[in-house]
Amino acid sequence: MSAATTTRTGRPARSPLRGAAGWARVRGRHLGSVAFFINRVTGLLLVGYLYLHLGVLYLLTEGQGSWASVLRLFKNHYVLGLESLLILFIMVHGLNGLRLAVVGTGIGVRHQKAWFAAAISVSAALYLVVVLAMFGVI
Amino acid sequence: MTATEEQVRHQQGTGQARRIRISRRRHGAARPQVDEFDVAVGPDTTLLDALREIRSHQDRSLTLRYSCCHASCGTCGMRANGREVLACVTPLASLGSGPITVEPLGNARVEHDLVVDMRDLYDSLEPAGRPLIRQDERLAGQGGDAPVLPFARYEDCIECGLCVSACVIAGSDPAYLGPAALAAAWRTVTEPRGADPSRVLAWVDDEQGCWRCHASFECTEVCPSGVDPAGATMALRRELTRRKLGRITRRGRGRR
Amino acid sequence: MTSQAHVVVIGGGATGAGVAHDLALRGLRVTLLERGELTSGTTGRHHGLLHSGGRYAVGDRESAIECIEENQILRRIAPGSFEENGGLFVALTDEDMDYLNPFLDACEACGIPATLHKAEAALRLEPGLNPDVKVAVEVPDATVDPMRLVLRFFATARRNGADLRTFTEVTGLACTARTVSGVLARDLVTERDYELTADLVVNAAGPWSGQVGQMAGVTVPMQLSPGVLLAVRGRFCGRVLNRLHKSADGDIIVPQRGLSVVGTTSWVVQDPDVPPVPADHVARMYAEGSKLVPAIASAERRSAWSAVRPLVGGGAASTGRELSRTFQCFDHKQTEGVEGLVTITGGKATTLRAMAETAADVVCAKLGIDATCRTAQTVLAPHGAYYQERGGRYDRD
Repeated sequence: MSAATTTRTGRPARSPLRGAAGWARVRGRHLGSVAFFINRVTGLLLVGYLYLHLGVLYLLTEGQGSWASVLRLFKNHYVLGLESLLILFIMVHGLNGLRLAVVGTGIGVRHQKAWFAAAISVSAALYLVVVLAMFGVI
Repeated sequence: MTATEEQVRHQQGTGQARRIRISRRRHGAARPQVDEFDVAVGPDTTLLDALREIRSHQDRSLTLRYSCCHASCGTCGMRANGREVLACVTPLASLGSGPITVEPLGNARVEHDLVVDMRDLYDSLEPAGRPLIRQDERLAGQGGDAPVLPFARYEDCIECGLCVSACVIAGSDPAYLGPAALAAAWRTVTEPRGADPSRVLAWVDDEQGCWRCHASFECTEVCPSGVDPAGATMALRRELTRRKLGRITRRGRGRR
Repeated sequence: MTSQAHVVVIGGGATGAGVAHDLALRGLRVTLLERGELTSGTTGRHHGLLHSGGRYAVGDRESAIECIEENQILRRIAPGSFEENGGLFVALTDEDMDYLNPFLDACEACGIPATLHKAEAALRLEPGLNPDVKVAVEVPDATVDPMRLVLRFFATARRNGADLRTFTEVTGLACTARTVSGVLARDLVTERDYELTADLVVNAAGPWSGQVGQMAGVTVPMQLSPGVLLAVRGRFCGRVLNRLHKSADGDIIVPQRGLSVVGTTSWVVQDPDVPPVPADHVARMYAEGSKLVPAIASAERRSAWSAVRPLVGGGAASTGRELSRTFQCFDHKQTEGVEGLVTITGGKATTLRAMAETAADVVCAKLGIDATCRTAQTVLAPHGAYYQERGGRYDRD
């Protein structure tokens, strides 16, 4: 036993994530977990957006004036950009969700990575169309 | 403080050394700490070789599990650079070229250093009732028209716990049955040997059973033995769906 | 009549497992010390053959008979723990054919059931065989999971009250007036040293038996002989395949799950820790293995490792293959006048139960305990029970 070569740093290590955050580990994960992660994050963001949407709709009850100012805000390019992201998240979450519904009943399990690639590709293509349409190119 | 130059230029090594960062919880400590070691490596050195070298010549207090050295006992499971591996069949060459971070398996209670408590895994496997030996028919390299030759062999699952460690759901929900137990359940359903598979299907037909899976497929990716727990979980769902639909259609047609 | 005699067993491999199980079954209090995980020494690393004894029938009759007897006992006490597909001894050359009759005669003399198959029949049994096969002899070999079988012994011992302490290293033997009275142990987890008193100490440390013996000033004549094993991906045979000739390198293929394990080589070392894995030995495994099964040549390497055989006896042997594979039990009172220490070493994984019976008989005789061995009739607990057993766990705090 050579104590001279013991190399204890004593530095505290990162404790592994547990509980509600236990799913958030991404390092060393494969494509299926990336899909899961994307679905969960887009899902959480969409739920957050839903509350925002309800809040905005509430403004309708406050009369035409406040609604018009909100609409002016939405014509801002940055907000339009965020809205396009919203559409992207909906497409990704929806198409991947279809993949999960099918694969999750035991159909086409062997092709789950191909399904995910297709979902992302279609979303990306549609996203491109949406962005071009939003900014008046097409 | 790192190992001496002399130890690094080991007679077997090519003069190359790799740094191994082990995240280990010492006995009585509340949190794990990081210890760094430099190890001389050759072209075929595995992670287990390196850890045994550290244990033998640098730090005899390093505790880790290993036995067969060829991915059949399943005891040397750990996380290397965040990914679940069996140390005995993981060449250091496959772990990049920088320092290697080694941690114990996740979703299991760490006893000390890289040793985790396997009790929960075996408790979860027991209700599946899967025997150790299965019947098989095809040898490697046999063509489609080759004669069917039956033989007995060990189940693929070596109870290593890599799948449970990799599972995104097991990380946040300890009540989940887990990929190992579900894979074992599917094996019992496909090879019941005279027993009634309905008992096992009823056991997994639960919100914490096969329906709790969120299809990350990580378990299948990390399994060193080709068990495909994710495929097994989906197959259980398919079987349960088929049975339920069958019951509904039978009732619809006025038959029981 | 139960005894409160306390026996400390050093070594958590197959030998230690058998001894702990046998003694616990006879009602003794057993503490077993293992410096790593159970079976992390030689036991876990062997190729997984449950010997029919065929390999030893011609050259080492005593070992062969031990093997076939224990082969049958183990199938009874550990049902469901083996790939029971049998094995073939395969003749490929004329030299192999010269070995055929001595082999068949020796198997008959040792009580090993042997069935001769002509070439066509052999190829029907094993289509992956070298098509130049001349004849094959079928024997009751089987594949065993090295760790899981032994874990069944540990699980049963634990259920019967044995205290199994892993990650506990023996640093010395407490000796007074040429009597071993206890063991000096270091708990590698808590890094604390302590002493365990014992009525008797059993040295079952395999290749480390010599080092343990030195702690009491006794000599255990060990020869340490490592061998290289190679596991490749793909199961190319349903049953064990042996080359029909005198023991040589690479003359066995043991199928295990979806792998094929090719073994082995043999040389002699002084240090049992971390034996090397010479690349030319691995190449030899590929070369010899593919003589039996041509597909081995292009099979992907899963792992190559080495394990140290604990052979009994020193002297002129230079490769390790010359020594008998039988086991020996040393009562050191008789060998060197040191009381309180018994060494059981040598042997093969297949004979673990018989080794333990011999050692336990010696232990009980020395302690004046009248208890017969029941391990040949006692069905073992499942291996998972070792982890699941709640009671009697050693508390490190």
